[in-house]
Order: sequence, then structure tokens, then C-alpha cells
Amino acid sequence: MNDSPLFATVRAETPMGTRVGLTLLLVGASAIGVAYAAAIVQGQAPAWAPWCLAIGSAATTVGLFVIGAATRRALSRPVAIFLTGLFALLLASFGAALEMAPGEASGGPLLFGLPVRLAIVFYGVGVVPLVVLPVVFGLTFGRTPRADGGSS
Amino acid sequence: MLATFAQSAALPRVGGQTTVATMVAYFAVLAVISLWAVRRTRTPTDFFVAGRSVGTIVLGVAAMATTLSGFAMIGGPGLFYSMGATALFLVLPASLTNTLGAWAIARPLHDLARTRGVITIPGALGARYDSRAAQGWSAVAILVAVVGYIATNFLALGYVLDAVFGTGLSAGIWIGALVLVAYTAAGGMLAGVYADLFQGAVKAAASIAACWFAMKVGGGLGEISRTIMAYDADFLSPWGKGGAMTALSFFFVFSVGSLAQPHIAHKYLMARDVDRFRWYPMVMTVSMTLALLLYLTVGVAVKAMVVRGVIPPLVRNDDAMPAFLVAAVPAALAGLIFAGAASAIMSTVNAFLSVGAAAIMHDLPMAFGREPSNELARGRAATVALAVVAVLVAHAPGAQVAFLGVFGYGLFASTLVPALAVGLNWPAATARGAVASIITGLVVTLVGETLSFAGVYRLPAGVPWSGVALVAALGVFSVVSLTGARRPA
Repeated sequence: MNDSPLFATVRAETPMGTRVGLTLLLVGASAIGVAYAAAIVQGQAPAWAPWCLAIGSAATTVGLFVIGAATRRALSRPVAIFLTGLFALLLASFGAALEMAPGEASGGPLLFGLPVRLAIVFYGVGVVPLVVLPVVFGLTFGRTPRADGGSS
Repeated sequence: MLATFAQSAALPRVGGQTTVATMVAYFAVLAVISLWAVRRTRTPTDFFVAGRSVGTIVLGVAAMATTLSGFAMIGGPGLFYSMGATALFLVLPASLTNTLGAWAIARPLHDLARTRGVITIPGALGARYDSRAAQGWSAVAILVAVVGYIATNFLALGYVLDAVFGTGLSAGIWIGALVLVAYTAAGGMLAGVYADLFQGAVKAAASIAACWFAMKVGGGLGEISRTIMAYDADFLSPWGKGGAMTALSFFFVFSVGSLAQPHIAHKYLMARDVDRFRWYPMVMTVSMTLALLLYLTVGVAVKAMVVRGVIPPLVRNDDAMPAFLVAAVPAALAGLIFAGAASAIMSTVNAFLSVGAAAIMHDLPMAFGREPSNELARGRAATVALAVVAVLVAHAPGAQVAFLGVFGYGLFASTLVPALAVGLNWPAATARGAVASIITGLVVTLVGETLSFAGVYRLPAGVPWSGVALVAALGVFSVVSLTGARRPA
């Protein structure tokens, strides 16, 4: 199917970085769609459905970052590595919270004032990207070259 | 559950002299800003996009003020009190979305504003796809969502004014609407963004103060956690009492959906030049973090106070913030926090009024092939008309108002994310794909939420209609665009 003239045209019109971002976005949305469909069919979410949402949420968000970077022509190797790390961080934080044994009962350990699993999600998904992303954006922000070779 | 997003219960009277004086001073500053802006609003560009003259700091703080509605100040602590960490997932995406907007759509939107004279989000879609249908359908989606959004915020503003001035709810709604319409209709977005700057500062100051008292009364975050864990382990589990599906669905809708909130994306059309975006995420992140301190701390502090027996269990979740004000905050500070709540409500409604008025007077006529004329005067008239409709809706029974308000965010997400956030970055996206995705988001959200509200059909726990509609719209957009892509000759 991918060798059809239709997809050849789409490939020609769509930069590589954008295609990667779109693939991430659609794979992520599909994963979430599968989880929702299974929950609707069965009347309740199966045990694996939260994993689909975790993967899907990380993939859709990072996919949008990738296509945005491609449009800004800022998808350099360091930015690509950074976005890969962001995807890994989101997935690892959600995954740890899903897989770790609960420890929120009375007397359970705290990490920076919160129960460990919640702390991993709060600091991993919340605080680290909150601090790092604006800096990365500011440092990679540049004048995008125009099609005529000038800069805008 | 989503009904808790709307403030729907009366607040206790806090109308001491200091509180009243603080609120009066707050409205006086708004009046000064409005008078200043009115004298500088001469063209539709001034009215709808603040003359494209906005710098980085104003842009960032105004975007924060517009993003956080009154829910973050009043309803949010109640949601945290009832659902625990689940409520965190409404604001956790901000760590990504503060930057994502600038990263993915600010530049393309600003380019359209500069090269094609675009002054609205539906106008941007019309220009991107060269499609009047895309402009018209997106304007319809925006109008459907903003009426409910504005009505719920008018209702919340009525409660705040009643609590401070003792106006009664109906009079509070009308007075609040009058103030808002006065500066929105007169000064448009020029008044709006500079009022947002002031309101954002008030909101952040109120949030910092509330956080400080929450930590003081709770004995610090660690002590609050230990207290709650001894009583209710699920409350501070990573997904809270709503469970993993609900929490992660919140994260999905509120992260991806953030790119399609027209009142926020509209800010990108106002930037003086493209370089204003470089440190815009930094400004928004700092101001947003400060403004969210209240949301993050008051609900858990109240929970700990209830567990310790300092205050009795709350009758309604919405009582969390009032209970905190009475038990933990000096009377003088209550005025600042109520001013912060009024700021949060008014900054959001101002943006919605402008976006809705533009849809009526600019985008819908263009969708039908008519060139808008006399836009400044008609934009002001549309602002007044939209506000009157919203005030009348705000007087409907509470459950119906809440129903209209709850799906606004999801409706924006499902109707606009594919066409706007993806389409601006994907050259092969087509007008047919854009229109099909907008209609899909509109139909799935409206039909689903109506069935759910009427009790005819409810989705399983953790599956929101907004999430289903967003996934469906993304799928339809991709498939229709791919199958409609230009074939080689």
C-alpha cells in the first residue's frame, strides 16, 4: 500500500520530520482509541487499557512537538534526541506509576513530600518538562529561512 | 463528574470593609485600563487582535490569565478535595502545553496574520485551506462552545459579587456582565490583553498568598501527605480516586486539546513580531506556575484539616475554598483571593466574548461569501448581543448551565485540533479533511454529551466523550486528507 502513487505523493509533499511526528500522533491516537473501544465493548476498561492511554498520551504529545519542530525547521539532531528523551521520560513516569507496588498506606515513604508513585508522576511529567522545555525552545528559536532563501 | 468544573453553589458572605475596598480598587483599575484602551481602538485590527502590537511579557501573562478561568481559583480546590490526585491531571499537562503552543502553532498562525491579514482562528483555517466551509464550520463550533462557557463564568462571577457585595445572584450576574461588556465592547482585545496583564498579576499574588497559608495550616507538604495517607490511601495514589483511565484521559484531552483553545491561540495573532515568541513559553510558565499554586495546595490542605478534625467534613465539594478562607486566611487576604477569582473569571470571559463576536461578525459572513463591513461597530454590537444571550442562559436551572459549560474544552479540542494544530504543520492536509474532522468533533461531542446528560447512555468510567470525539476527529482528518491528496498526473 505504501508504494501506491497516492502515498508517493503524500511523501513528496510531507517532510520527513513531519511524517515521523504524524506517525507518532496517529499511533498514539489509535492506542487511545483501542483502549476506549475495549472499555465500551466490555462495559469497563480492561487491565491493559491504562497502558494504551499512557503510551498514547506520550506519543500524541511528543508527535505534536515533532511536527512543530519540523515546520520551524528546528528538528536538528540535538532536538530529535531531546524529544526522544521527553517521550521516554513521560512513558517511564506513567509506566512506573502503573507498575510499581502501591505504597500510599499509612507510614509509606515520601519523596519530596509526596508518596513515591505520585512524586514520580508529578516531578517526572510535571516539574522536569516545565523547567526544561521553555529553555530548549528559547535556545533553539531562530529565524526560519523563507522559501526564497531570505529570512523572515 | 465534569459538572464539578463549574462553580454552581453560593459562596459565603465575606463582605468585610477590607474585602469590599479591595474589590472596589480592583474594578477601578479595570476602568482606567478600559478608558486608556478605548481611546486607542480605532480599527478592526485594534479591536480583534490588539493592533498586532503585543510584546512577550504581556503576551505570556495574558495567555496565562486567559487559560486559567475561575475554576482554577474556586472549583479546583473542591475537585482536589473530592478526587485527590486525579485533579492534578487537569493541570499537569501545562508543563508541556505552555511550550507546545509556541512550538507547534504560534509561528504558522503569526505568518498567516502577517501575510494574509488573518484576525481570527476560523479565518486562519479559511486561509490555510482556502476554504470558506472550514472557516464557517469552525466558527459554528466556536459559537456553540463559547455561549455555555461564558454563561457558566457569568454564573460564577455572580456568586463572587454576591459573596462580597451582597448583591443577590441575579443582580451579581448582570453587574458582572455589564462591567465585562463595558471594557470588552469598548476596548476590544486591546483592553482585554492589558486587563489580562493586571488580572494575571492579581491572580498570581492571590495564589501565592493562598499557597503560603495552605502550607502553614497543613504543616508543610510532607505533613499533609502523612495525614491524608493515614486516612485515605487512594487520595494520594498516582491516579487519585478517579483511577488511571480517568486521570490519563484528562492528561490526553488537556494536553493535545490545549492547542485548539481559540481564546489562547488567538493571542498568537496579536504578537508584534515573530521574535516575541522566543521567551513567551518561559513567561507563561513562570506566571502559570505561580497562579496554579492555589489549585495545587488548597484542596489537599483542606482535606488534611478535615482529617485532623480542624474543620468538619464539607457538605459540598465546592465548599473547600470558602472553608479554607474562613478557617485559615486572615480576613484582609480574602479580598485579594476574591479579586483573584474575579480576575480569573473576567480574563477568560473577555477572551471568549471577543472570539465569539469575531465568529459572528467576521467569520460567518465570510463563510457565506459576504465581505464584512463596518466591523468595529458590528463587533461591539455582537459582543453586547453575545453577552446578553449568555446572561439569559446563566439564569437557567443550574444543571443545564453546568451542562452547557462542561463540554466547551472538549468541543474545542475535537473540532479544532486536527484542522488547526495538525493541518497548519502538514502540507498534505486537505480542506475536506478539515471540514470532515470539525463536523465529526461537533456531532460526536454534542450527541454524546446530550445522551449522557439525559441519562440515555453513559460511557464506562474513565472514558470521556471529549476523548472519544478527539480520537475520532483525528482519525477522520487523517483518512479524508490521505484519500483526497492530489494524485500524480
